[in-house]
Amino acid sequence: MKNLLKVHSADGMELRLEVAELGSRSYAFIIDWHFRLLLSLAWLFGAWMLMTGAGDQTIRSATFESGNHWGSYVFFLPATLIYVFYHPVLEIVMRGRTPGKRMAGIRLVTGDGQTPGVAAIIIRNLFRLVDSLPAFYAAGCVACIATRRQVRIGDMAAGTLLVYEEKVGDDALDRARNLVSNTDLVPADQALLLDIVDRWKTLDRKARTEIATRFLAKIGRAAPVVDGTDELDRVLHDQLRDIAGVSA
Amino acid sequence: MSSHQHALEHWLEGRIERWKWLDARSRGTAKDDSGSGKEEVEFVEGFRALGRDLALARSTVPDTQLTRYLTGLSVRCREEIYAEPGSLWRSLRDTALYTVPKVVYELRSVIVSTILLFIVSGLCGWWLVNTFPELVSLFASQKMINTVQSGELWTDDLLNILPSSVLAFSIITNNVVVTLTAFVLGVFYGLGTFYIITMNGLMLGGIFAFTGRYGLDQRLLEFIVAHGVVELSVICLAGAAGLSLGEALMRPGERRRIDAFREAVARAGSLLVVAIPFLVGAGVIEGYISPDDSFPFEIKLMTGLAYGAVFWFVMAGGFWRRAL
Repeated sequence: MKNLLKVHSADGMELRLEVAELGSRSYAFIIDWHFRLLLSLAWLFGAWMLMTGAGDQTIRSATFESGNHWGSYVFFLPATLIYVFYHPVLEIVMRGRTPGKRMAGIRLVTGDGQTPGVAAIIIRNLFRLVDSLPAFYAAGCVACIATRRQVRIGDMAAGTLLVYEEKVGDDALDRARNLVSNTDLVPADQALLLDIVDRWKTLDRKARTEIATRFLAKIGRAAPVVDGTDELDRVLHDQLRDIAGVSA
Repeated sequence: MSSHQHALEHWLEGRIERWKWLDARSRGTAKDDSGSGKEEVEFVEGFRALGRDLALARSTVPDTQLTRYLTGLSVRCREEIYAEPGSLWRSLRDTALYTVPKVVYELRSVIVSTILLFIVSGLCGWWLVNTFPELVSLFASQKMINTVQSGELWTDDLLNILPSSVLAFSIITNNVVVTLTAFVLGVFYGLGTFYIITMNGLMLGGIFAFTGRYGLDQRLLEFIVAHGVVELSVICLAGAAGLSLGEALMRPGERRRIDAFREAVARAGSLLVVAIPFLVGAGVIEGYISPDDSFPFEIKLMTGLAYGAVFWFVMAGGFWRRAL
C-alpha cells in the first residue's frame, strides 16, 4: 500500500503525493555524496594543477611555504565549502531538489506539499550533525525506519519530507489523447501499455518479448509471427507503439 | 469505440490546450502575459478547474500517466498560487528586529538557567582542580600542562605560530561548530546540550585553577576577556536554545510532541541566526587583539565589555522596545 501525503488545499483540491522511503532517500544521498566528493576533488586537482603547472616557484612559496598558512586555506577551504554546503545551497536553488534527488525522482516538500523555505532547508541540514551520529547516518536511518513519513531527525525539526516527483514526459497529454482515440483499452491496460513502451529499451530482450506477447494476448490482439528473435523484438515494439499511438 | 471512450476523448479534447497553457504558465514559459492581471485570474480559475479534472481523472483513468501528469501540474500550479510573498532580506531583518528579542524574552528563564549552569560548572571545575590538581589532565592536553608548568601560557607565542588572520578564521570555524552542536544536541531531551555547557564550564574553571597555581591566571584572564564575553554568551545562548528543545520534547503541553519540537526548533533557531554572526567579531578580536601584548588589559577589558553590551543590546532589543 502506498504511503501517501494527502494535502487539502483551500480550493477543495486533494493532492496525493507518494512519500519517498529509505531506499530512494539513500539512493539520492549516495549519488549526491559522489557528486560533492568529485566536485571537491576536482577543485583540489584544479588548484594543484594550477600551482604545479604554473611552474612559478613564487606562487608555490607564497601559498604553501614560508609558514604562510593562507595557501592551505585557498587550497582546502573551497573544497570543504563545496562538501559542506552542497545540500543546503542546491536545495534552496533547485527548490527542494539536488542532482541526486532529481535522479532518484524525489523532492523535498513541507507537510502541506509546498517547496520548503530557506529556514526549513537550513534547519534540516543543520540537524545532519545529529542524523549522522554515531556514524554513517545511523540515527537518521533509524528515524526513517521508525517514522510513518520516513523522515530523519532533521526533517522532523524542519517539518519537511521527501516525496516522489510525478515525472511524466512533456508528450503525456498527446499520448493520452492518441491512446483514447485509437484504442478501446481500459485505463489499466493503457497504463500498462505505456509502461512497456517507455521501458522497452531497459528490459531484457527475452523478457520484453514475452511481456509484449502476453500483453497482446490479454487485449485480444494476435501476436506477430516472424522468424528470428531480433525481428520479433522489432515487430512487437512497432506493434505496441502503433497501438499506443507513439511515434518512433 | 464505447460511449465511455468517446466521452473520455471528448473530455480530453476540451481540456488539453488549457492544461498545456497552465503547464507553461506554472513553469514560467508562457508568452502571453500582457501584464494586465487577466492572465493571473485565468490561471487561478484554471487551477480550480484543474482540481475537478484531477478528481475525474482519478476516478476514470487511475494510475495512468495522464493522472500523474495532472497531479504534477496541480502541485506546480498550487505552489505558484500559494507562494508566500516577501524576500529573504526582509525575513532576516524581521527576525533580527522583532523575532529574536521576543524569543530572548520568552526564553529568559532558560537563558539565565544556562548561564548559571555554566558558572556553577566553572566553579566546580575550579574547585576540583584546585583541590585535586592531577585532575587537570581531564581538561587540558599534556602539552598545555607542560607549558604552564614551565611558567608560560600556551597563548603566549600564538602570533608567532599563526598569523592573526589564520588564527581568527580557525577560531570562528571552531566556535560556530561548538555553537551549532550545543543547539542541535538538545534533541536528546536536552542532555547533549547539558553535557556541552557543563563540560565547557568545568574546563574553563579547571584551567583557571591550574594556571592560578603557577600565577598565570591573571594573564589568562587578559587573554580571554576581550573576546570571551561574546564568545561565552553565544555558547550559553545556543545552550539555552538547545535546552528549550529538550523542554519541548519533555513537556510538549497540549501539542503533539513532534509539533512542540518543531516549534521550539524554529523559535530557538532564530536566536542563532543573529547570534552566530557575532562570533565572527569575537574571532577577529581573538585573532588580532587577545594574543597581542601591545594592547593593555584595560583596552581588552573595555573591548570585551563593549562588544558584550552590543551583543546583548541587539539580542534583547525587546526589553527597550517594550518600555517605549
